[in-house]
Amino acid sequence: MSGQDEALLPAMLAASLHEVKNMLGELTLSLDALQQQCPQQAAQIEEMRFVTRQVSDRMVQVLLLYKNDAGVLRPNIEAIPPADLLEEMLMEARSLAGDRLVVSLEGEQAPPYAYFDRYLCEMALMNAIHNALRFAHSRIVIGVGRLGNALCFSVEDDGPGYVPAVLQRAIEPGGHSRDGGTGLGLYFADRVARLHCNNAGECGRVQLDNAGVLGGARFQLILP
Amino acid sequence: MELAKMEALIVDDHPGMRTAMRLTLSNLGVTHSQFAQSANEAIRRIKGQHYDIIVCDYNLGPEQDGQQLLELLRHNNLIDLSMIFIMVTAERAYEKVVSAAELGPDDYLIKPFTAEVFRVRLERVLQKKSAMAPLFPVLQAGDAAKASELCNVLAASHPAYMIDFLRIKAELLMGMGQAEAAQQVFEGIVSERAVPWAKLGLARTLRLQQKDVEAESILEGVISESPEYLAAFDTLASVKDKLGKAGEAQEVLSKAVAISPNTLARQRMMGDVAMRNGDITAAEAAYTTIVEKGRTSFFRDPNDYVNLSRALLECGKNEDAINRLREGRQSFSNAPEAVFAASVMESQAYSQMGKAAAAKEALGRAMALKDSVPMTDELKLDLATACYRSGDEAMGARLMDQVVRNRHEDARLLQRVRKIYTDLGRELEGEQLVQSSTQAVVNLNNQGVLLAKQGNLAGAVELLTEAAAQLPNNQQIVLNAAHAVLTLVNREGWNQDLMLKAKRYLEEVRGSNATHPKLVQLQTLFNDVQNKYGSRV
Repeated sequence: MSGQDEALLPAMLAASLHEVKNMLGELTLSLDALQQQCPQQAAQIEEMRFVTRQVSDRMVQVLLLYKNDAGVLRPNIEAIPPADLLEEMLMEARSLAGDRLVVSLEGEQAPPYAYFDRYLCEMALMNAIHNALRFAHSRIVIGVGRLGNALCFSVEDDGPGYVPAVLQRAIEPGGHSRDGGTGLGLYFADRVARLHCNNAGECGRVQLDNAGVLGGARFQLILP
Repeated sequence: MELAKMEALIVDDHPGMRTAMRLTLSNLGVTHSQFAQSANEAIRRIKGQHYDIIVCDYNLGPEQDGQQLLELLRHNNLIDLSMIFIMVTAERAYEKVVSAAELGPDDYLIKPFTAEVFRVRLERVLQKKSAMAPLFPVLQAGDAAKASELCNVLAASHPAYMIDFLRIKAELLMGMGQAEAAQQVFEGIVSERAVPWAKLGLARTLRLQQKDVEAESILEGVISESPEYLAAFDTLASVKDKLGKAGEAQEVLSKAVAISPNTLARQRMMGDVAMRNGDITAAEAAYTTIVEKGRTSFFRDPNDYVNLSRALLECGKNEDAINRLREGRQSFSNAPEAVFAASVMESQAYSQMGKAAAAKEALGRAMALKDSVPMTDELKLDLATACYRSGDEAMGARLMDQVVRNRHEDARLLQRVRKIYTDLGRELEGEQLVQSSTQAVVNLNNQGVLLAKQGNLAGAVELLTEAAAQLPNNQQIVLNAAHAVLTLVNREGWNQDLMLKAKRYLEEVRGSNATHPKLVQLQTLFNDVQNKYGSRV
């Protein structure tokens, strides 16, 4: 492969991903319309929307990870009330969960504002919420609080929890997730966390465990 | 404010999206909304009436994007803090734009989004605006001191928006000339988290205190960590320019221009710096871009054509210069100031081409308009040059003398005056003029200072305010006039008219040279006098 082709490939890839994303956008709108026309199929259509949303998010994650590898992904860090982000996540999660699950909020310990990139963190957390939605039996808790001096977003469910293999391994692409996926979502979240560094040079991390109050999997995005 | 009473403007070049957004807004209760298809139409509408909410698509076609519209609106004070500006975009690329911009919208949404998401975001912005609401009337009344105190109160009662209030406070302090206090606020934010805008703010406060070397090193740090943060490039370029590193300033600007070539203000600075560096090719390129892009812009200026023609004349492209000047006159529909500016430059072009009669005729046109149009000192120098070239030496010398008196401390301008005389083959005459005109101002100043020392403050005020009226761009004279006025009021008692004058003097100098070394001291005196009498202007 010539050097030119190598440069062309990411550009083509990026353009294709963008195109696919737009198509998915149209698909989502069609599904919205369909859902209004056929209320009896609402549950299936809901499921289709959920999958569409996941595909779309995955596209965006790949694009962002590519930028990250190329060293051009720079977080836009601002002082934001974490409770605001959490409420939006809750709304989104509830609309995806429908009547199937109870999604609740845990945010009393949250600082009034914290420094983070709203969109990147939203992406990382949405991914965790998507996973929780698939594995939870009946409950999901989305939370934000302090962990020492750091800000800690968490997503917990009452499902079976992470298998030991996932907990023992470092987070890396192709590292596989609990459902046998590529682990891209986790890898993405981990990269996002690492882009958040404080003045002392301490950077964020993702922590996975089964130590939450619900007994299932617990995903934590910890930002110093 | 009730949603039903709000006036909304939807800016989008896509008719389908405009209608969809109107529907979304009206479902939320915002029933009054109007459309604009382009940035220019939006500006026209916003100039014509007040809007509470502007929802703008980032992609507005080839001419101008939503971010440029937002920056134009803010820089020209067409929208204020109380108004809501929400950007809507199909592209994630906007994140890069917004992180590189000094001025962000209140919020931005990436398409596709549901009506529910839009509702939540709008509510969030409304919450923040309502927390800020007590500030709006104070800002509108122009009481920066009260507004900055109010920021402390509001930050304490709304900790979620603490940083927003601190940022507003720091900007207000800078506007009042309290650079050191503003520096402390920015330092506080930076010590929490070194976000680029706070470091830029810190650098700007250092500049105001003449600490240019420190400002330079902070800004170098900002652009190496955030190589897309354009506002830092602009500030770094002007710091370097001030430190006498014009070459490096041009380099910094050309990097910023490469990232975003459409910002006219940056291209103007690029043209000016390149011109001074003698890099005529770069200057010509920058001024050409301004003229080309400016055609469709609301904020264009006849001077853009003058600058371009100056660069063209500098490298002997006389015909091109004449064509551009004609274009300029036409594009401003032969408005007197455009005809005047074009005639001045045309006269020079014809002189260079050896067409003495045409040069004289163009000069005649300019002289006929001279007293009825506003004229920059730079253009006055061109007019003076044209006079010399057409043989009216007395008028040339008179105009030059006016310019030098007005700007006797401006080393760059004096340099240009000397160069013009050298090019005219009158080097010695130029040196004598610079000397004698400068001396005249110095004498005037000394006379004022002497009167003040003799205790005749009223006499000093009369002499210096008169001089300030004659030489409005002479910062030294204007600031000495302010000093005399403030000293008089401080000693003799409150005088509303004089204090208004002093306020205007300080504002004028701050407007053209915010980093003048005497500004901070005089602003402090101004504040002290106000506090002493418990009165404000």
